[in-house]
This record gives sequence, C-alpha cells and structure tokens, in this order.
Amino acid sequence: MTLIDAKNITLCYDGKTILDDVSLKIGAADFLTIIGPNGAGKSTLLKVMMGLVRAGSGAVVRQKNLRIGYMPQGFRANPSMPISVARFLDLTGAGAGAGAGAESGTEFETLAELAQIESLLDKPLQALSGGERQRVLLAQALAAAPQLLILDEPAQNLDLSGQLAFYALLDAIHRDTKTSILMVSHDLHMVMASTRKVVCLYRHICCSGEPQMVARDPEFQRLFGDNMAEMMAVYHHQHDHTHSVPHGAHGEDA
Amino acid sequence: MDNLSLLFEPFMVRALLGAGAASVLAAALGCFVVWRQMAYFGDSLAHSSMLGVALGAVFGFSVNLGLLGVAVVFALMLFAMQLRWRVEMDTLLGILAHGGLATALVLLAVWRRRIDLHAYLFGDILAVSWGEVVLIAAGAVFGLGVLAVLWRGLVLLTLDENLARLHGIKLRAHQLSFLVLMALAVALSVRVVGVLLITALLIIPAATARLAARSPEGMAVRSVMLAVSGVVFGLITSTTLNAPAGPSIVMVTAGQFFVGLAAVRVLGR
Repeated sequence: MTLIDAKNITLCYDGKTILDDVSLKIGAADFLTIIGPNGAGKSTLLKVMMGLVRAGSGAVVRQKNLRIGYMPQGFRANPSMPISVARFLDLTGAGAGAGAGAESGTEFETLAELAQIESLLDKPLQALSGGERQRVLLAQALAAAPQLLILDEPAQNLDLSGQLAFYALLDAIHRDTKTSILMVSHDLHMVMASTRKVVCLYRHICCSGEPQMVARDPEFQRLFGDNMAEMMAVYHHQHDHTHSVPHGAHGEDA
Repeated sequence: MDNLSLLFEPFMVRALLGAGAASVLAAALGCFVVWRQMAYFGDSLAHSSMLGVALGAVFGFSVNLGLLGVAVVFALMLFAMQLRWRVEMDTLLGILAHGGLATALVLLAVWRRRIDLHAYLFGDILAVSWGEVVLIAAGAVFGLGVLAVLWRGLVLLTLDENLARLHGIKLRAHQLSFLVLMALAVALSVRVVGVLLITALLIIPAATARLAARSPEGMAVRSVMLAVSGVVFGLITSTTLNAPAGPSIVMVTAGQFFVGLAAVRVLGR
C-alpha cells in the first residue's frame, strides 16, 4: 500500500534547480532514509511530499486522510515565548487535555512514556537539552497516531550516545507500531550501519538501495568522497560480521 | 487630592476608557511583536500612518478613517511586496516608514493645512470625544475577538511554520489577518500615545509580562493588565504633573518594566 507517491518532481527556485525529476514512493511499514550533501534538496523533497511546498512539475499522490507526524529540521524554541513542554504538546494537539480519544490515537501517558518525556512536561521549552527537545518533537509527531513519520534530520546536534539512543527509539517505534518512517539524515555512520533502504539525493536521485550497495555506487563516492565510501564499506563489512547471526528478527518487509 | 478628583471628570473618564481599550489590544498583540521581533514593523506602520492623517486633512475626510485606511494599505503592501519581490523586510520597512511620514509633512505644508502635529505625534487622549471612545472600544473588541480566534494558529506559526502548516494552520490567512490587526491596533493607539510612541504600547507591557509569565496566554493576560494599570497611573501622573498624557503613560509602562526586571533579579525567580 503506497502512502505517498511522488512522481517526476522538478522544482526550481530563483533560477536554481532544487529537485530534478525525482520520483519517490513510500509504502506502509517502510523505513526509508534520504542522505545527501548540504543543499541537495532533501528537506524540500520532504516538504513537497507533505504538500507544504508545491512542485514546479510532477505529481504527488497522498493516500486519502493520510496521518503524517512531522519533526521539522532545526527546531529552536522561541527565546522570548514562555511555554512549557506540556503546553507545547497541547497546542500541537498532543497534550493530555487534547482529547486522547479513540480517533486521536495514542493515549497521552503511553506517548509520554514511549518518548521518555514524562519528567520534562513542566519544563520550559527553551530549557531542554538537544536530546530532550528531539524527544518532545517526536512525541508531538507521534500524537496523531500517524501512519507515516517524516523526520528531517532528527538527530542533528545530538552527541553520539544521544544519536544511538534516538535511533534505537525510532527502531523500536517502527518495529512495534509498523509506522512508516521517511527520514533525512546526516548521520552516515548510523544510516550505513543499518540494513534499511537508503536513497542518495543530490537534486536528482543518484542511487538507492541497501547501504552496502549505495556505498559502492560511483555517484555516492563522487558525492561523499572516496574516503567516506571506503569507510562506509569497511564499517558495514565489520558490522555484518558481528551481527550476522541474530539477523532476520527485524521483519522489515512484513 | 484635587488631582485625584480630576480622575472623575468626564474628560478623564473618556481618556481612561479610550486609552484603556486601545492599550488592551496593543498589549495583547504586543506579545507577538515581542516573540517575532517585530518592533520595527510596529514603528514603521505607525510612522507611515501619519500619511493617513495628512490625506484626511488635505482631502477633507475623517482623519481617523485615513489613519486606519493607510495603516491597512501599508500592511497589505508589505505583505505583497515581501511575497513578490523578496525585498529585505528591514529595508522595506525603513522606506515605507520614513517615506510615509515625510510625504505626510510635505502634503500638509503644500496644502497649508494647519493641524495640531504635536497631537498626532505624541497623542491627545485628554481631548478624545465620546464618539471616538465608542469607535476605539468597538475596534478593540473586534480586534481581540479576531485575535482570540487566531491565537492557536499564530502561536504555532511563531514556534515553527512548517509544523504549524502540517497541523492544518493556514499560513497566508494568518499572516494577513495579523498584519491587519496590527494596522488596527496602530490606528486605535494614535489618539492615545501618537505615532512616535505606539511601539512602546506594543512591546513594553509584553516585555514586562514576559518576566513573570510561564505560558503564552499567561503572558498576554499579564501584558493586558500591565497596560491597563499603565494607562491608569499614566493618566494620574499626567494630571498630577500637568504633563502630556501619552508620554506619561509610556513612562509609567517603562517604569513597570524596570521595577519588574529588578524584582526578578532580586527574587531570583
């Protein structure tokens, strides 16, 4: 079942081509990661798929009444607006008061527990650490019981252990709820260590597939440099060895 | 004591009601001006609205109507110019503010209209009529109603535009309505503090409220209460010292801010 089907998207802005004939499909229970250098059009592609930015040409077909949870890139709490985490979640329709009924989906307590934000609710939004802020944004994204999570560099500005914890949380959510995930990530070491499908974007889709294959692709090597590609291949090679036995438990195509 | 009994004179009651109503809308909207760092926008809108005064005086229609009309037109122009030509907002504001104010002064001179310039630059609330008080109050109630309806959307848009839009908030409609509300607040406040001091009415109560507030709504409520008390004590100061009303009100609100700041520092919050 296809949730969003973007076909031949082309988008120019100020005479610059941002996206050039990009086609991308995301289906139920997919976990798709978009990688690419800065200015590759990754965030723009996400916005086109959500319908926030209109494509110059091409078509985006979204499943009817598709529930999307979204984590924007580089969210900063407004420094002069006093607002607690709980109130922020209220405003975005995720709060305890905002009807945790049958159709609005996840029970607030479950949600807060899942995103590990119970202890943060009374804190001012500005006082959160990077990791805390990302978990709050994730709770916000999960509130409407989305069929699709769209995450724009969700682990940006997190330290290594923060990244590990965050991606583990995403994995658990994907595994347990079968929510589709479409993510832009700069954390190549994390992305390439997984077996999820990767799309490498630089205005057009350069290559896509399993991380190992992508790392060997000449276009990937050109974009990220030979060193990076080599490192990825090696990294993944070692990773394969250590984890080759308990594989199969992931059920990705279920 | 004589000064206090002045508070119950009809002209003073009118001043209290008019200034109170205008400052309530300005103080509530002012929260967004603080959050979105739009102080210069408020200033520009206020300065350029002087053109409305001049046009009214030259062509013989209501100065109040001219004020509101020009403020709305300028707000819409800003909206359109920013969308179409992507001129830097800051530059655009400077051009409109000073272009408008200068043109107003030239128009008045060329057509030899003698208006009380001082009254429009610094306010003249003690001379307000009952009719005007009713107009100001009606405008303020309307503005507050619209603001209440748009509140959640505007707060969400202030936090993150993309997130807000994904939650179904209409960006353009909210932006446009907000600009018109700003124009309305400016037009209502000219009588109170004059075009040169309007920004103070927008940002000072909100900035003081920020010191103690813990939610966006709490900040707006505190801002409104501070503005109303600023008006009351400002007018008392004005009659006591025989000083102009507008500057007295602004001076009191500025005093509130520094007292608040000191209190927060001392109490440590």
